[in-house]
Amino acid sequence: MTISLVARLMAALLGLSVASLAFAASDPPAAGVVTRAVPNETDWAVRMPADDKVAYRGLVSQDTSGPSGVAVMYPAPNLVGLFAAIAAHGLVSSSRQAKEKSRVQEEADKVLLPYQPLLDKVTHGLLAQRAFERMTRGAGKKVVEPNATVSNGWIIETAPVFSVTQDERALLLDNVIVVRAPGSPDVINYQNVVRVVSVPRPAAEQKAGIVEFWTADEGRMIAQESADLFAKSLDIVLADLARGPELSASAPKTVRYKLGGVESIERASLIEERCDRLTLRTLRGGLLSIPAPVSSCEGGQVADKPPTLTSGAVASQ
Amino acid sequence: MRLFSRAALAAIVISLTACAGTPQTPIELTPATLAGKTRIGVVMAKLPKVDVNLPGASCLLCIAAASVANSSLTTHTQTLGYEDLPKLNADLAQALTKKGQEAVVIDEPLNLETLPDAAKGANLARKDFSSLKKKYGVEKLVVVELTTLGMERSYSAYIPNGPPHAILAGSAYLVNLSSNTYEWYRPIKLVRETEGKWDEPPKFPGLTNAYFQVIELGKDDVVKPFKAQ
Repeated sequence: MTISLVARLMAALLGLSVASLAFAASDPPAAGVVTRAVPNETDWAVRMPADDKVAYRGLVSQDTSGPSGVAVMYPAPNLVGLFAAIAAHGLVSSSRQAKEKSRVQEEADKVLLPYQPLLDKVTHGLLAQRAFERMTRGAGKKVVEPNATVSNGWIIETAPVFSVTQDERALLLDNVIVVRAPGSPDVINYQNVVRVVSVPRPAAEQKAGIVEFWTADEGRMIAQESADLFAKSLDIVLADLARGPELSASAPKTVRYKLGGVESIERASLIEERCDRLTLRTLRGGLLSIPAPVSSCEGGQVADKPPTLTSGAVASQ
Repeated sequence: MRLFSRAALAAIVISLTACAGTPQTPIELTPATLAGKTRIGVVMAKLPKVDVNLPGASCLLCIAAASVANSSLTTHTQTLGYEDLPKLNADLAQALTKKGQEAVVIDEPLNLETLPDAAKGANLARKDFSSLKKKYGVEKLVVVELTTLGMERSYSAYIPNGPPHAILAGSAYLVNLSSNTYEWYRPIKLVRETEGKWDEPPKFPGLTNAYFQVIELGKDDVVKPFKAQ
């Protein structure tokens, strides 16, 4: 009887252990953690967001003086009253903070006003089509419907959000990526956020000139630059996957780069250095691609120059 | 009862007197300040402990509650280093040399507590720096005095007013050691919030990134006036 009880207990414990292992196995990996190397010559099914309109927003300045501390006297006729007053204060405070965040974003989004009619025409389908032409990594790429089942093949899910700097000189892409392996479409194999920063327009350029540049020819340049950043973000992820589980061992350093005309600072580890661009891993595990401080590209190397209306092949809208 | 009234009055007077100190107003660096070649020492005051500040959590229970709520952030913050802040005086000296001054880097951090308090007056330095004239053989002294470094989260009693942010605060000043007067005074307060969520224990990467951002911004803030002249 006792042996039977012990055996049952052992079985129950074993069952619990296996269950917890199974649960751990289905947990998605942390941002940027490569669990399995994916060769560069892999075919990809690319799943874009269900909403076909690409998201653009104004870049919010990080500068802030922060809220100041204020002493508060709570009406507390008794202990219950005190807790109620603290809870009410907490609710009001959270609501105020959320409203303030929303207000700041709305204010930042005003930078999009001259471009909004053109941005409304940029669809995920067009973005992907143009990006695939620019990509240097991966074999075949095809866009699949948001709800389509991909039974046997690598899937990359992407949710790009573009930001326009307040001086309108540069674009920035934040691309949320999820990768699923063949045969297990319900399991997340890799997830990350990739930020790609464009080379800013020249500082000497007047604001009217910048608006004219982006909006000319039905917004050809803003669509082209968006596709270029999107292609770079996918290439960077595929390079990260091809490198495999081994993470870069370099220690984080403080890196400065330009977001339009504003200097930005990031603590990150260098993954790859090209003549025109640096790829870094941020403290959160995210990937960051920034223009090199000084392009050292020579003849034959592809330099990442500020976009120009006359350079390179231009895809028609 | 009469004794109690007097004690209360004395407490109020002491409190008000303590608040009566006028903060030093900024003094801009002008070309006249650096006219002629002068031997100028550049020193870092002893750096503060990297820590978490919780202003506004004023009552004892509020302080305790806020400290507990932010304990993992405090543990992490206290592991963060100064990066190259201790060498900021070398950057300043380089900028001064480029302006034609004879800059002397003083490697030993200055412990302001060891200096006597100075007489109060308009643009008079808070501490008496005159003894350093002979010690370092300089006529003027640039001091970088940071008082707050780390994270800050403001409270209204028990409730945080928002997410924590990284902070670097203090002042930088140029003291004429003959007159113990400020010839340049720059208050510094730089804060940076995280991009996205902040509550990411145990390593708080967003806030850690913001911390290193304020260090860079602080260095720029101190050196910039000397580069602009």
